[in-house]
Amino acid sequence: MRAVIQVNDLRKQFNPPDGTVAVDGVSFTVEGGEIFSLLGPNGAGKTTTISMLSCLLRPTGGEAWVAGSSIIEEPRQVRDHLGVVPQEVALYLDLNGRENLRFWGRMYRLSGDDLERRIDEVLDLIGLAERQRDRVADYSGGMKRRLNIGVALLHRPEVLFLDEPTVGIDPQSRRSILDGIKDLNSAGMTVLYTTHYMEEAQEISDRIGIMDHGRMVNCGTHAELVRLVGEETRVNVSIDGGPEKVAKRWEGLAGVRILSREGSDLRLLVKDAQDAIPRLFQQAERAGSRLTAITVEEPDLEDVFLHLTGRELRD
Amino acid sequence: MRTALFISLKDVRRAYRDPAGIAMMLLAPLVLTLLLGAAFGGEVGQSLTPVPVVLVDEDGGESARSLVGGLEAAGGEGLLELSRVDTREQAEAAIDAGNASAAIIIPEGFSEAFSGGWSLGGAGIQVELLQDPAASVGPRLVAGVLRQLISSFNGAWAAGAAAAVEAGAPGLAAIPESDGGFPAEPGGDLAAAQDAAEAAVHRFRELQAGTQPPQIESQSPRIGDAEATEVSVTGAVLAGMMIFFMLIAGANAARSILEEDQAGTLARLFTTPTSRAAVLGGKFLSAFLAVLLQAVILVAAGWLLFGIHWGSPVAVMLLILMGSLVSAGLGVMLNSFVRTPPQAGAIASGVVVFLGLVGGSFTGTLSAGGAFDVLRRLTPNGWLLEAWDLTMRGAPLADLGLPLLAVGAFALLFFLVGSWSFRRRYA
Ligand SMILES: Nc1ncnc2c1ncn2[C@@H]1O[C@H](COP(=O)(O)OP(=O)(O)OP(=O)(O)O)[C@@H](O)[C@H]1O
Ligand SMILES: [Mg+2]
Repeated sequence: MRAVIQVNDLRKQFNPPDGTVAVDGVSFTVEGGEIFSLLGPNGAGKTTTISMLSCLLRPTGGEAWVAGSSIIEEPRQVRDHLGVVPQEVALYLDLNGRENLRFWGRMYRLSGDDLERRIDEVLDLIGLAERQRDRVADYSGGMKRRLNIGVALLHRPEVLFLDEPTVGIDPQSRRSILDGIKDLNSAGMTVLYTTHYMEEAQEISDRIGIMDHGRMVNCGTHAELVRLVGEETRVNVSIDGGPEKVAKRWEGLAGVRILSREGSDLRLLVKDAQDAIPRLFQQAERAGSRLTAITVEEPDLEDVFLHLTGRELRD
Repeated sequence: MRTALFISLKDVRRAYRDPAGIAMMLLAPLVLTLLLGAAFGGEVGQSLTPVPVVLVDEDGGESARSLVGGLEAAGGEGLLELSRVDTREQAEAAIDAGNASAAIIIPEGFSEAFSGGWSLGGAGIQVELLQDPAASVGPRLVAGVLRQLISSFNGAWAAGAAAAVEAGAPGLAAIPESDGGFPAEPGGDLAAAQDAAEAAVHRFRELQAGTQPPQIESQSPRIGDAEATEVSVTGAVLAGMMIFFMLIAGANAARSILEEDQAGTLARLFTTPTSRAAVLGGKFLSAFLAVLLQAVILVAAGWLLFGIHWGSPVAVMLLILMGSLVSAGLGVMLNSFVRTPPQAGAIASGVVVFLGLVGGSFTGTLSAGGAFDVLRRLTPNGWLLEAWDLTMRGAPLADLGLPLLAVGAFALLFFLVGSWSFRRRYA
């Protein structure tokens, strides 16, 4: 397998020399047929990275190749092989669904019967065949998002970029979008996906790059990333009475790390849970409090992010 | 190139699907034309102040006095504000000073001609009408009253026989009598003249009531042209309105660049294999096509609804094309200087209204040719107006060369500045 996306030390500073450094030396590769997710909180630099890779923004440093062409030297070739689904819905609301697809298809050099056939296929794919004659302005949020994706599929791109395509929509639409992406990927499409939902990244990605403050904090498969957290287990507890005192006592215990506390709910990372959990009960009892609930989970990407950055992924 | 065309077709479709856009592009100019046409042609007593006219009676005879009486009667009706001076020089001075918009000169021998019978017909006795070229409707109204009066002196004179012909020299216009012979019947008395004046007034009132399309005749600029072409008020007004609203529509259409920028579709276009040059070219083309369609519809509507004679089809096509080019160019340029659609809307309407005022779009071609000529020629719409006026008067195509060249130069300038500015922003 060859790398379909190769990113070397990419940088972007807006309004240099004093402006925001939105992307600060990011490198990664995406192999052909992979789904690669950029996971990161708001402002991490995901959109800026995607914009550079789709030749919309000129990098202030570094280099990247998409489908074998340099984004700096050969933007035209890059665009030929690329479908881009922007973060914000970018459609003509006063035209209907089919008219939108027809227009964008023409922008991708499709025409005639070929175009009309392809429009029908895409409409089926995104489940909008029945609403194709309605003005996009009258679509629901989820339908707009689906059409927004459909536009990028018309020319059967080799590489698909999707920038947070599921933000702010209902669970069914999200489901159908995620399934659709998996289908496209099974058919051979390489996908670069951005999100700040760790469940999404976990579900669809072959590999995940964790971004924060313009940097790639770490990168790997879900299992690899989770392993970074170590042999720890996540323990969620609810405390009845004096959670502060309990927390203070727990902090002193070896192999116990408090990740967060919201009211009387605490999240902990615990080494060797079998041994540690009885000690947690013991200390709580000594502080005069009671544990009303306790759950034990494998760590997830949220914990990984916290482990790596010391902050929570959620805003 | 094909993609540029697709971009523009998409934009034109969107523009003409927007009811507010249609109202602005098509309804506003037509409705305003109706209103203004009625005001210029109809509401004589109210919306037009009496036209200041100076009168020189070089003849002093019986018939001359009758004519003066008739004019005074028209003055009494509020159409004219008549004052008398002794010499032609004084009359010209009054016009130059702006104290009068027209001067009527009754030449020596006028009364004699009326009593002299058939044979004097060819002698070319003429009542002269001098007019202030900067004034719009006034002199034409005076010409109308005068013609009505003179023709009433004897029924054998057809109204057209007294065709007033403007002199080529600016500021001077004369009405020579026709070649048709004078009948034996001598000129009428004072009472008859007053009747005639009343008839003239009555005619204007009728126009006001809207029973006929408002028409004030204007004359061919060439002396002695037997087929003096008429420019209807409606045509003159609509030409002005059309040019103004073409500029507005051009700016509105070009604003879609900024709107697409905000909506994210411009960035999305830039992620497709379509080049940026094609995108910008498509945007210019869409402004051009939107305005072109607008102009074609307005010209057709003017012809079908108002019976306007626009002039030679070739000239009309050229004018529509150049008008659309310059409107699109101005629109692209104005939008290239600002960031957001609301800014663009404000700037564009400010600039276009200013151009409209300076270029005379609101007075229509009625005021074409005159003291504002220098200022007007600093604007593309001023040149366009001049060209439309010439065309409606039936001027040969060659006469349109200079105005069209000027319009083309404006279009090129706007386009170059606009595309330079946009390229700098999006390249
Ligand atoms: N055009 C711009 N001019 C200046 N700063 C910008 C611009 N676009 C983005 N930024 C800044 O760059 C940083 C990264 O923004 P970016 O949009 O890439 O983040 P993101 O990871 O996509 O966030 P989100 O999840 O909210 O979409 C932010 O601090 C943002 O304010
Ligand atoms: Mg983003």
